[in-house]
Amino acid sequence: MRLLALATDAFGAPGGIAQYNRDLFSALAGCRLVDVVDILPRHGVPPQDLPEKVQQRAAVEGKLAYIIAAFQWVRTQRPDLIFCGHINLLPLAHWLARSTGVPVWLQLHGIDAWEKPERIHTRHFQHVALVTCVSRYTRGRFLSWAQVPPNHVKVLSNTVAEPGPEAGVAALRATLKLDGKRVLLTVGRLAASEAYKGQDRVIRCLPGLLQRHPELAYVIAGDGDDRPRLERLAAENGVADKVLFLGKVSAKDLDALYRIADLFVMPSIGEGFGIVFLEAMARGTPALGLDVDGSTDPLQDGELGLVSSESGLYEAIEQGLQAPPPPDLAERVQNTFGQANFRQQVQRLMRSLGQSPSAVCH
Amino acid sequence: MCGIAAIFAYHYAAPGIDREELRKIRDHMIARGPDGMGEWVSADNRVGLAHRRLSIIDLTDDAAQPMSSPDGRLVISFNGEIYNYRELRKVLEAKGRRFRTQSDTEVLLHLYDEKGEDMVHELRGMFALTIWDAARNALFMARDPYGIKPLYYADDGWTVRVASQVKAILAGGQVSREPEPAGIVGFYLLGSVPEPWTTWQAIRAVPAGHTLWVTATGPGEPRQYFSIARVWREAADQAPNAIDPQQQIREALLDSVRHHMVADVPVGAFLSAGIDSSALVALITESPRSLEGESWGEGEKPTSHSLKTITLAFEEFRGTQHDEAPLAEQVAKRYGTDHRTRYVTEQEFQQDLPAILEAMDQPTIDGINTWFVAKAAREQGLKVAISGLGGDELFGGYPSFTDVPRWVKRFSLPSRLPFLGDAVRIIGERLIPHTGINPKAAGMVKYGGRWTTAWYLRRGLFMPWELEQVMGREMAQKGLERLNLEHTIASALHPVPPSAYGKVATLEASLYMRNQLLRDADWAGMAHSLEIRVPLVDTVLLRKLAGVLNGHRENPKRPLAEAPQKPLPGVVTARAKTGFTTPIGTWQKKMEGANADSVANTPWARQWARHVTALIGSPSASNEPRAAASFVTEECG
Repeated sequence: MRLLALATDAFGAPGGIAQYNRDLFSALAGCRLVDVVDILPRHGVPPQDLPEKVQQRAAVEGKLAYIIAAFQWVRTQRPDLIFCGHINLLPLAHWLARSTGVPVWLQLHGIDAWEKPERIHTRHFQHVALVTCVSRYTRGRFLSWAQVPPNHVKVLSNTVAEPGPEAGVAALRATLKLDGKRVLLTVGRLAASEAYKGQDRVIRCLPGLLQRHPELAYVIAGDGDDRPRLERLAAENGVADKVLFLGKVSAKDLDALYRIADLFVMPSIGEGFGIVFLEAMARGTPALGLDVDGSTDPLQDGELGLVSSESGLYEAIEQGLQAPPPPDLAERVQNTFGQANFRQQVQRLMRSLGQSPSAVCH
Repeated sequence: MCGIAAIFAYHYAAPGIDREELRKIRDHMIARGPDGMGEWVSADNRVGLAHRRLSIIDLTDDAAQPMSSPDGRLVISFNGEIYNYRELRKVLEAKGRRFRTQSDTEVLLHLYDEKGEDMVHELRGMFALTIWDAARNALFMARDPYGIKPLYYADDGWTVRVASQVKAILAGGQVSREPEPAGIVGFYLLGSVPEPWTTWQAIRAVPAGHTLWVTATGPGEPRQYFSIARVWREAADQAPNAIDPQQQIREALLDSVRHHMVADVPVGAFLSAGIDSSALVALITESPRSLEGESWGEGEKPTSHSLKTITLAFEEFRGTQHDEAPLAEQVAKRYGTDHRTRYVTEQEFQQDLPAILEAMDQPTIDGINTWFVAKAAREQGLKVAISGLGGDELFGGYPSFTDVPRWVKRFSLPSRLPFLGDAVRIIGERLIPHTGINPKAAGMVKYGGRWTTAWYLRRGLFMPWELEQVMGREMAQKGLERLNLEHTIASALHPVPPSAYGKVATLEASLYMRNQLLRDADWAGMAHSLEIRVPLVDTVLLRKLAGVLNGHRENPKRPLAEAPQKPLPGVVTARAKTGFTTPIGTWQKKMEGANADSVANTPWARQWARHVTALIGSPSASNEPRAAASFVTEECG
C-alpha cells in the first residue's frame, strides 16, 4: 500500500505536531500492509536517516505551490491512501481523493478542530474513512460539529519515547540556583494570542503556596510575547523573585528540568493532548493538569497524574507537593503511552481500513 | 425481559473499568429486572457485563446472567425473549452440545459459539444482547430486526458503555451530557427521537436489525442483517401460491401467537375494543400451548379463565363512544378470558405524571396509555402481556396507506417545479394560522410528491420551518443539518419496495412503530416490570404475509378480523378504528401552566411535545434529562 501524507511538518521540524507525525509515520512504516509512506510537508528539512519505507519530499511553503505539488504528486504516485495531517489541509485532501478515488485518513490534533473551520464543508468528509484524534476531548469537540459517523472517529494518543540516562541535572540545578528548592515546572510557549497554558493561574497560587513552602520556586520554560504580562503578574503578586523565566531551552536542558521538578504543573484550558505531561511523567516527575481539555488523557483521568478543576488548583498543587512521587510512574507511563502500544494501535487502525468490522478483531 | 449493561475499556490508554459505575448503570434499570442481578468483570478489569433480571423462562438461579460458557471464553448479558429457543436447542443438542439450564440465554451462548455473528439470522424474537468474546478480545452486540428491545452505547474514544436505557448510561456518571440537536429536532419533527440519535450527543442506539463489534479500536460500523424494506421488495417478486390467502394468514398468525406464548410464567393480554387485540386474544384461546403441539393442561386452558385480559378505560369516557370497556368485555366474554377493566382518573394521571416522566427514557408524545395498561397488568400479577401493537403497520390500518400514495400521485409533478413548493409553503405559513387548517398543509406541494417526505407530512409533528417556535434558530438549523431527515427516512426505504403498500408499510414499521410505539412499549412496560410481547411484530410472520398483504384492500383489517375460527363480535369488526384513546389532551390542557403562547391552539400533540420537554426538566422530575430539556425550553424564550 502506498500512503501519501499531506503534513504541515514531520521529520526535521520542531514542535509537537511534527513529533506526532514522526511517531505516526515511523509506526506506519512498520506495518506490513504499508509499502511506502511518502510525505509532502509544508515545513522542515528532512534528515538523511529517515526510517525505512519513509520518503519525505522537499517542503513546499507556498499555498498554491503546495496544491500544485500535491496534485502532481498524486498523479505520478497513484496512492492507495491519503493521510491528511491537519484539518486545514482537508479541502485539498478531498479534491485529491476525489480525483483518485482513494480514501482519506484525517488526523486531528487540538484546538484547530474544536470549532468548525470556516473553509470546511460537509462534502470535504465525503472520502474520509478514518479520523484519528489525539485525545477524547478533541474527538468530542470535533463530533459536536462534524457530520462524520462517530464510529469512524478514533483516538490515537500521543506517544512518548523512553528517556535516555539522566545527564546534567546537578549542573543545571546549580546554574539555576535551585539547590534545596522545591520546584514547580511549566513547559509551553508564552503566546499572548493563546494565553491558555495556565502559567498565570500558577503564579496566582504562589503567594499562598509560599507560606507553606517557603523554599518553593516556579520555573517557566518557553518563550513568547505573553512573557511581559506574566512577569508583571509575578511582580504584582510579590513573587517575582520566586519565578524563573527561562525562555527557550535546549532538549538536553529540558530533559534535566523535567527531572529537577518536584511537580510538573500546566493548568491549561486549551490542550489537544499535552505531550509535556507525558514527557515529565516519563522521567518520574508527577504531573498536574485541569479537567477541562485534552489534558485528562495523558493524566489518564487521575490514574497517572493529578487532575484538578480550575477552582481546585491551589489545593491540587498542595496535594501534589505533599505526596511522594509514585516510584513506578515512569514505568507505568511507558506501559500505557509507550511506543509499543502506539505502534500496535496504528497497525490495528490500518487493518481496519477497508476491512469489515468483525475482521478488525485480532 | 431485562436490563443489560456493559463497559469495555477497549483503548490501551483507558483506565480499567469502574465497578461502581457498572453497578450504577445496572441498578438504574431495577424496574426492568426486579427478580435478580449479576455482574461479571474480566480478570484484567478491562471489560464488565451486568444484568438485571425479570425471570420469565427458566426461573432458577442457574439461568442468572451474565452467563459464561463452560470454558469461560464467552460471557453474555441478554435482554428479551427468543421464541424459537427450543427448536434451536434441539439442533444444537443434535450437534453434541450439552446444556446446563433450560434458559434461552444458554442457547444464545452455544449458538454464538457455533455460528459467530451469523447467529442473528437464526433468532426469532425480541432481543438486545452483548457477548464478550475473550478469544477475539471483542464485544459483540446485536439488536432484534424490528428494534423491539432497545440497546444504546456511548463511546468516548477510550471506553464504550452499553445499556438498555439512555438514562442508565447517564446514571453511571461518566458520559458527557451535551445535548444532541439532531435528536431534539427529530423529536419535534416526528414526536419521538429517530434512532440512532438520542437527545444526548454522546449516546447512540445500536440500530434495529444490526450487529456491532467493539474491538481494540473501538466500535466498528453497525452491520445490517435484516431490512423490512427488503422483505417487502422480495415479496413483490414472489409468485402467488395456490393456498387460500386467508388460510395462509390464519396459519401464520397462529404460528406467531404460539411462539409468543412461550414462558414459564402466566401470559396475559391487553384487550381494547379494536380488531388487533381482539383477534390476538381469540387466536390465543385456540392455540396449542407449546411448540411441541401439546394442548393446554387441566385447568390451564385459556378458555377456562386462565388467560387474563386487561382493558384500560377512562372515567371521562364512561358511557361515550370512546369507552372501550363494554365492547372489550363482550370480547372477553366471548372467548372466556379472566377479564379486568381498569379505570384511570385524571387524579391518577396527575399523581403518576412525575413517575411517568422519570421512566420516559427519551422524550415522546405517546406512551401514557401503555403506562397505565402495563400498570393494570402488573396489578393483576402478570409479568408478560400480549399486545396488538404492529397490526396497523402489517395490515395497513393507518390512513397513511391511502393518503401517502394519493399525495405522491397528485403532487409528484408540482413538487418538482422549482420554487413552487417553497412559495406555497411561505404563503400557506402566513394564511393557515387564521383558517384552522392543520399547519402541515403548507408543506403539501413541497413534500407531497415524494414517498419519503409525503410520509413525513402524514406523520410529522412540526414542520422544519416551525421549529423556531419551539427552539432557537441556531439549534434548529444545527439539528436539521445533523439529522438530515430526508436521508434518515430514505435509509429506511432501502431497497425500495415496488408497491405503494410495501413502501408505506416499511416506513410505518421502520420509523413510526420502531421509534415511537415499540420504544414507548418498552419504557412504559418495563417501568412496571412487565414484558410486552408483540406477535404482530415478527419477522417470520412478515415474510409469510408480505406477499399476501401486498396491495390495497377496501377493508384492510378484515383478514386479521377473520383469522380466528370463532368470529369476533360484530360490534368490534364494524367499529371504526380507535385504538387506545386517552383523554390526555383534555387533562394536559387543564394542567396548570399549560402553554398560552402562539402554538396553544395547535393540535394537542404539539402542545404535549413542548410540555413533555418542559416537564422532564422540572425539579419534580428526574435529574437526568434536565440538561437537554432545559436547553430546549430555554431556547424557547
